[in-house]
Amino acid sequence: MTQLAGGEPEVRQVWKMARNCAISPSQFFMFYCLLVVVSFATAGLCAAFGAPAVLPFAGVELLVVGALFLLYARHAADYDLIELSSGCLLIERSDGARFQRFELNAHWTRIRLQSAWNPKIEIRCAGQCVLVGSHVPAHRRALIVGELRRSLRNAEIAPLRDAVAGHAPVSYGK
Amino acid sequence: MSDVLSGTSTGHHAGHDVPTGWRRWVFATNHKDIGTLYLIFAITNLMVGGVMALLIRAELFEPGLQIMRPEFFNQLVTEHGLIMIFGAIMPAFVGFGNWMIPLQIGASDMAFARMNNLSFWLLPMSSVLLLGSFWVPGGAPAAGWTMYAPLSTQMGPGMDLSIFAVHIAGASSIMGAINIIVTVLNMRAPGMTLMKIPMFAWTWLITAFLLIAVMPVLAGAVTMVLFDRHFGTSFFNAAGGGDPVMYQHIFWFFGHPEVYIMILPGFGMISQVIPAFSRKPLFGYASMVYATASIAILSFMVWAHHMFVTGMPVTAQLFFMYATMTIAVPTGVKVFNWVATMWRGSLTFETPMLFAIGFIFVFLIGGLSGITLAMAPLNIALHGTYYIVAHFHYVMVAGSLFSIFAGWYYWAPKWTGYLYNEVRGKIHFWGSMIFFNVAFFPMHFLGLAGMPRRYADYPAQFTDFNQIATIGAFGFGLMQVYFLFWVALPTYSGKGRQRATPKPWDGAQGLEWTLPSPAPFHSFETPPQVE
Repeated sequence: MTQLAGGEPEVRQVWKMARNCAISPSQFFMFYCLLVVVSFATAGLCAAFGAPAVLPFAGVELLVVGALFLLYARHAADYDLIELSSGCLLIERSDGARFQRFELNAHWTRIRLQSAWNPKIEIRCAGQCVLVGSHVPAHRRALIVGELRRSLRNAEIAPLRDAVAGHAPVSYGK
Repeated sequence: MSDVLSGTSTGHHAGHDVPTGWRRWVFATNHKDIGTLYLIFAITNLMVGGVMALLIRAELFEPGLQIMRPEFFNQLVTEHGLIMIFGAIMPAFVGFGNWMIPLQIGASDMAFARMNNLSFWLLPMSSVLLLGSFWVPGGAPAAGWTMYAPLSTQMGPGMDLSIFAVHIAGASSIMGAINIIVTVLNMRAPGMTLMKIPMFAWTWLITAFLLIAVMPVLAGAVTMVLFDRHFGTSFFNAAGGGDPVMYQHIFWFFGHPEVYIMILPGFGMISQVIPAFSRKPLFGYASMVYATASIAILSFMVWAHHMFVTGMPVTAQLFFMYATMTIAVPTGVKVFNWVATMWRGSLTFETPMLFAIGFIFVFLIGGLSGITLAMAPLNIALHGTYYIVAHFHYVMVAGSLFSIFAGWYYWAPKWTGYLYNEVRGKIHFWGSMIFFNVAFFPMHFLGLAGMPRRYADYPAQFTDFNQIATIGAFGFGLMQVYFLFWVALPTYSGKGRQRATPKPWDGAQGLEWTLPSPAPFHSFETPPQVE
């Protein structure tokens, strides 16, 4: 749990769903460059000594490798972040170059798992629908839905509980 | 070796669907399923290639035998080589990589799961083309697995099928290599720096790099053969101004790194097994990594030692001779590190360890005969003889295959959830070890005496050693049948077998042993934290 400074609403719980990425984009790019240098040096040598057919194969191969590396690297840092604070559900989605941020009223939010094949977690609030959970295995999403629902329920009764316990009630206003 | 600090996700089957039936296998995207498919494919090809080897040895049992036509003998020699390399050894290592790399680095799966499926399913097509070439006019190619021009430019349509088969197998290898590179580089568990990843994953990372570097060379070479055959070019046709020797240069520029592609993952497996049964960490982990990388780099500089007899300047001979000998240095580092790991260790000799020690012994013999062959003057005398056959079988069978067996016995409890039968495992090891040496050691003498390879017949003075070799080969083949039906299949079926604990080997280290046995369908959904 994170306490925000400056009188901002207290963050009760954070879910971050992201892929594990063990290498920085620059390191990954350097590795690709190394592959390109070695492969083209090899192919160039072959071409120089009378085997030109190696060069197009090396080119096609490196294009495929590069495309796949790019495909992976573009989404390596993707994440879905769900932050539950007093009365507010903040959702951040990073998907390649796209970044989206939604602030939903936690009291009006409904969470469910889609019934489709490879279902996403559907978070609906006041006509808005946000789909998250693509970075966790499909079979774990149901667990996360349950956890989110429980946390939302607890967040609703928390002000009452805090008042009984003598704590200052948490503001739910947006 | 990496230690688990916290947050290990052991995975589970509950609450989700595990695909069943034929769809599970045809549309497999789970790394464990694809790993199993690769291993099934590899053992099937091992048996097919093994039957070819036994037919070859049967023909050579006595001089004057005519079990088959000499052309068919040469077709068998060619297909045996291609099937064992592209159908058995390489897929077996990719199978091990698929199974173990995600488990060893704490990843939930391979980076490109669907591409993983495609890269596997290309392989059966490749094998169908290879084997199908026996049934086309003119039969299978008979130019040897190297498909040297001008033989390869003159043969029947079987050669075209083999060229396409090699292309397809190469595409599959490239896809597998990309997957392994991205998985190892990107999906390591938090805290697992590059110098903490297990040696098997390291060796596969370097092997994948080699594959990507050299596969276009093979593709280029065989495409040029195809062009010479059908499109009127003369790359390798001397009559048209081409140069057949150039094919050899190009082929071996691929071929020698290919030799290391087929042994480096084996080194990695041996580096996992020996510390586990010595109950000591691997001696000189960093030097092992650097030695593996050195071998990979040097493998690009030695190709012409396969071609000393084609005629080359003395300076070139000297360069390739010394460069080849230099490879003995990092290889020696590895062997000394394995021995140093065992030194004063608390050794036990379960089957994986027996195969690992056996590997060192026989691989050393293969390595030493390699040093002999590296010397240009000796190479010229021994070129094309059975000494070469002995050398590369000591490296490829006793090296690669024994390491595969060491790896299988080591990780089978993790895959199947059952302990294999130790007595049968030991019978398999000792039988294989003895029969392998009976089959291949006499070939050194045959080669030294001048018996040429790839001939269906021979003069009478070579009879005794050939008969010993044939008996050894049949014994070796039977031991692999014994392994399949009396060791492997009972372990997979689990009938009467003892259940394996998550860590059946008390000295084993690594993330894979934090998972239950058998490893669950989904594992490490939350990456573990590594210290």
